[in-house]
Amino acid sequence: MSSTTKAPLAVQPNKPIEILPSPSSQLFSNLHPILLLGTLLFNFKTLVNDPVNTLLGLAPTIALLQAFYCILCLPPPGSQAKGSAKKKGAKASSDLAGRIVPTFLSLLLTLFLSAPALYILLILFGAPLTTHQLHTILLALHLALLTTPHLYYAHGLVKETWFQIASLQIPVDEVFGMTLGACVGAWVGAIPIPLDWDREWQKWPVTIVGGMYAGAVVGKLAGAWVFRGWRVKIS
Amino acid sequence: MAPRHRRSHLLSLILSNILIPLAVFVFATGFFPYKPFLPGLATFHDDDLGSTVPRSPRPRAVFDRVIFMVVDALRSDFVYGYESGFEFTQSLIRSGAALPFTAHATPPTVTMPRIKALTTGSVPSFLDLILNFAESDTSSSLAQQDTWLAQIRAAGGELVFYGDDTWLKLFPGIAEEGRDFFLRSEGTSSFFVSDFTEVDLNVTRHVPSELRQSDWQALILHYLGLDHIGHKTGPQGPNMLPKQREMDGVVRMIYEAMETEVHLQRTLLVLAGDHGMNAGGNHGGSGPGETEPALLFASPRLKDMVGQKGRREYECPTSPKEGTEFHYYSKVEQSDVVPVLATLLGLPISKNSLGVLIPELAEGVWVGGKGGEEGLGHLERNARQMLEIVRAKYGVEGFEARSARFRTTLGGELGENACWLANGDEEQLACEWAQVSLVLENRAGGGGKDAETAQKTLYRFLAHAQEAMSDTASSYDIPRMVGGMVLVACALVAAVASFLSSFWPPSTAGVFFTLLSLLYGIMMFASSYVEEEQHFWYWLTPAWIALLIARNFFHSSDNSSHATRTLLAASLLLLTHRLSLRWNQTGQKHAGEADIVHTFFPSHHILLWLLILATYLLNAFQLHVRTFADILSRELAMCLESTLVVLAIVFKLNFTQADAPELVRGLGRVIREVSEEFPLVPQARAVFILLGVGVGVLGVWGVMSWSRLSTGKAGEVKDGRRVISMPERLHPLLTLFLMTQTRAPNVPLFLFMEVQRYCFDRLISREPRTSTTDKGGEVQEATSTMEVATTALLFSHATYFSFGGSNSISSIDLSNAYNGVADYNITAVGVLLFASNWAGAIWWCSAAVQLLMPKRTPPPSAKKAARRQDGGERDWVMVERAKLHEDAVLAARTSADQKTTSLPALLGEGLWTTYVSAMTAFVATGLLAVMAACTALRTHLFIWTVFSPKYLYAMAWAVGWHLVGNIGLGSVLYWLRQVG
Repeated sequence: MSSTTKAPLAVQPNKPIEILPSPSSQLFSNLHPILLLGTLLFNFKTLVNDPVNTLLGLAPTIALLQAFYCILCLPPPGSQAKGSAKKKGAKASSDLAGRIVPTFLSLLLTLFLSAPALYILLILFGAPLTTHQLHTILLALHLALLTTPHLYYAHGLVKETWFQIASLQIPVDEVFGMTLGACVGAWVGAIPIPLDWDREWQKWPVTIVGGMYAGAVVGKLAGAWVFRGWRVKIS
Repeated sequence: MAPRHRRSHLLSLILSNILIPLAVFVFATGFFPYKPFLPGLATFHDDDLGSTVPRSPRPRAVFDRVIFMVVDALRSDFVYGYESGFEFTQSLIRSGAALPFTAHATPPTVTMPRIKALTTGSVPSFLDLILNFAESDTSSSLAQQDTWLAQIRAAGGELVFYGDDTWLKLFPGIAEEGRDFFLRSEGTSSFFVSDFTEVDLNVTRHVPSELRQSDWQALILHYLGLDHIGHKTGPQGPNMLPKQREMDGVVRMIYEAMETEVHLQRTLLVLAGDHGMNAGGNHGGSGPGETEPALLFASPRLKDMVGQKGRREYECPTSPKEGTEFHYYSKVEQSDVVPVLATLLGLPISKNSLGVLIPELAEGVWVGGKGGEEGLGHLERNARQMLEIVRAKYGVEGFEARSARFRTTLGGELGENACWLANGDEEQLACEWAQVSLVLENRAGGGGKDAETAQKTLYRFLAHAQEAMSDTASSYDIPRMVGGMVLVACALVAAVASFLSSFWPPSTAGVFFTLLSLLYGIMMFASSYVEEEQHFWYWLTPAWIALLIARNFFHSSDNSSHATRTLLAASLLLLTHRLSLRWNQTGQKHAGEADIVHTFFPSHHILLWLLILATYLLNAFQLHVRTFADILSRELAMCLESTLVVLAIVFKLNFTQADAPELVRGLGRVIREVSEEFPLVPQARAVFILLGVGVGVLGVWGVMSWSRLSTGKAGEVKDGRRVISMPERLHPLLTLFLMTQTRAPNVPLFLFMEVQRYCFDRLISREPRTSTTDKGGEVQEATSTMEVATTALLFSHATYFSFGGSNSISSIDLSNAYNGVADYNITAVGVLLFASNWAGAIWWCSAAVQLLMPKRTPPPSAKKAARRQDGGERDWVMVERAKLHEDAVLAARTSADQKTTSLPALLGEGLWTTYVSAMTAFVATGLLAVMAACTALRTHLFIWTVFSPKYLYAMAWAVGWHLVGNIGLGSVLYWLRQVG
């Protein structure tokens, strides 16, 4: 059942998402990974010493970074589906409002839908259940922030699209790349925990947090430059 | 694929699986070398050695009797720590009547090798570990070896023994003398670890009368209760302190008798642990605490002997040495007991002993008395005895020549650094022996060095020899180890070659499987990942499930009911996986921490038994609708099934009452009272016999339907009803057997596994196999095979660890190995032992066969059509179409069946050989990695503690699970799929 032989999807998916062409968009899009990684590295020591408070304190910053990324860099919702005809006619003022509201909604969805769902998923993947609850909840929040706001913003809540996202069948771009990278990074981040190096940073959930930030950044860059337009092949 | 290709692939696969056991064996002979030992008993007249050096006179016996009290798993802190129950013993230490030590027990820290070390003074190899489980094996007998027990008997003394019957197996009766090794003895069996009191009372009740008797020279006691408490509740358990007090009471009783009874005046009491225990109360490996038992010598006479000069004050209770957990006082080797006892009793030191006289004891007992002359004599005898082993190892002539050369070059230099030129253990030892002989000659000549230098020189030689001789690192047979690796590398190449064509183009499952194998290989070089291997499988399994979700979504974006089913199945899989990975805490790092079995169930035993009953009920249901469906009449089947399952439950209940009463707590009292008169052995046998009857019924039916098959009538889809194949029918019987071999708290895991198999059946892609000649069809088959292989591999390992298994010897569960076995039978016990420790992994072998089998259900269109017809709505086109399709499938299948009746074609069939090839490739990769890790890290600190046990486990996985389970059982089951 190799994917090349048939195309089972009813709706042929959208093209990879393009970053808005304006210089400020391009600038922030390039700055975004540096800011994400920088924020984490800058706070890494406190993260190791006090994961709960650090993750809690960092969450608004990351949310803001993701919000700016959505507002500044991503094409406003709806523009993708309706094609480029509308782009020209859109006015700047309504444009801004038309971006802030969906961004806000995306963050709300991230907080109340993605984070709880990812919490359950983290537990099912082996996160501690009876201890470290706050750690894992905040980990889920950060994972949600890194994986979903831009997806909600760019793709809306169309069922077919989310099916495609879940089956990894939308074309790779930096939005999807960041999500995929964060998930894989979080998963790979678990590797150092059992090693007998007796380092403080091996404790829960520091390596996972590190892995998912690194993964998000790598995924975003790879999605933007290397694998843009690819589709993951599952057979 | 052309038939010729198939045949060459099959040959390559067979070659690979012949090479694997060969490689395992060749590597093992190089890695676990058989250690030669010196035969015969040592005497005082072994005078042919070192004849240039005059000998010192026979030792004076300081004691004439010894009471050797072994308390199993007596960790050092139990006696010396602040929270100890050994109050009387501690007062003895404070008064100087007892000398305390921490004895180092070399892994494997299980009882039998430790008794060997304590009696012969040698360092038992890992081979002894295997023999520990094969206890009746006579080659492990010590009756003919040189032990301090044999020395006492040779000197005309008598021995008395009470306690762990391992001793009676190690020292069986001597045929030539026609009598038992011991004058009087009674063994207690350590079969049920839930027995905390009886095992010890059975020993203690003999002690007062034995203390009054004077016909023995050695009284040996081996108490098991403390070890049982450790296994059951850990070192902090509520029964631990009372048990320590009880043991302290025995010490008091013996000591007081030694003070009052005249014939016990010259008696020495030795209190020793054979090994320690870890934080979870288990032992076998080399974790903290496991290798540190207490060792204590006590006698009222010691108070006077440890005279003014050599007297040391011992503080007790006390704390361990800084930076350690269990290192109290001086650390000695367990083997040191042997020369100490021999010397104190005035006997020759056993030939194979690697023990060194303990300085504190020697100083205390002799230096205080006779100005060190006598003590030096003892040391000299110790050195000569050790020299014999050194020479046996390096060759007499070569060693003598080297030693003589050093004598001339040394020029009387006896300093510590005089041997700096010597290179390697052999030269070092030769040089040090040269120094020793110089010292001894000087002293014999009346002049020369003072006693202190002589002592230092002797100790230097002894300590170095002990270290070098205990260290087996130098005796690896590297060519053989490399040979093993080359063989397994060939096996890997052959295995990969046998399925490369169905592997290419790469599928998701194929890539995942390859990555898994490579990661597993890399992981074998990290000692912490070998200890914590469960994390690897627990980590990969959810990722695999996530991939399967994505794969299923990919095919179902236009079908939301399929998507819902996928999500439901995947959630159930993830949930059961998550629950089972907390079922038993395993690994080294967090051993003994909270888990479901040890923390939750003891307080929620009703829930446990409900789950167990549910598991058995599901099994009964499967027996009814699968195993005996359409074979026996409904009534007869019901009768057989219910008897079988009820007997299995009753056995499980009674066994658990004996093994882990804290999980029963009065449940099912009526059942237990009724079945009380039947011992456990016939109960287990009844279950096994009925299982055999079930298999027999299936066998008869199978033969009958085989004859129908040859006439081409088999495999019909009758009235749209599912045809149940032989593997499906056998599966519930196998499950019941494995459940019988599983500890009660693990039984519900079978329920989970059944759920998991059902869910995977939904998730794994199964394309209709209409054409087998078409190239595309071939690839599709292989894809789903790789998915089954990946699933079976992941879940075999994950369940092995969730059942409580690990890569440490301490996690081997012996409790179910003797089910239904009355007399020791090595084959039966071996099979039962493997089945009870690998129950989950074996179960998945059979589950994989069922996942691989093409389903013999009528096509969905036919079902739908039938339903519509039933509903009165005639859709004759559909019915007709379905009928046509059915006929076509039938025709294809019948021809396929007829084709496959010849054996090579049968085994050469794509699906199964691809599956076996994949498994073989994984096993070969794993073995190659383990072998390479063992070879590369052979001088590493962890070689005996982490990598050697891992190699033993890799052997068990490769031979037991892969060859017998996957290939043996699996192939038979897969072959039987045509029956029915």
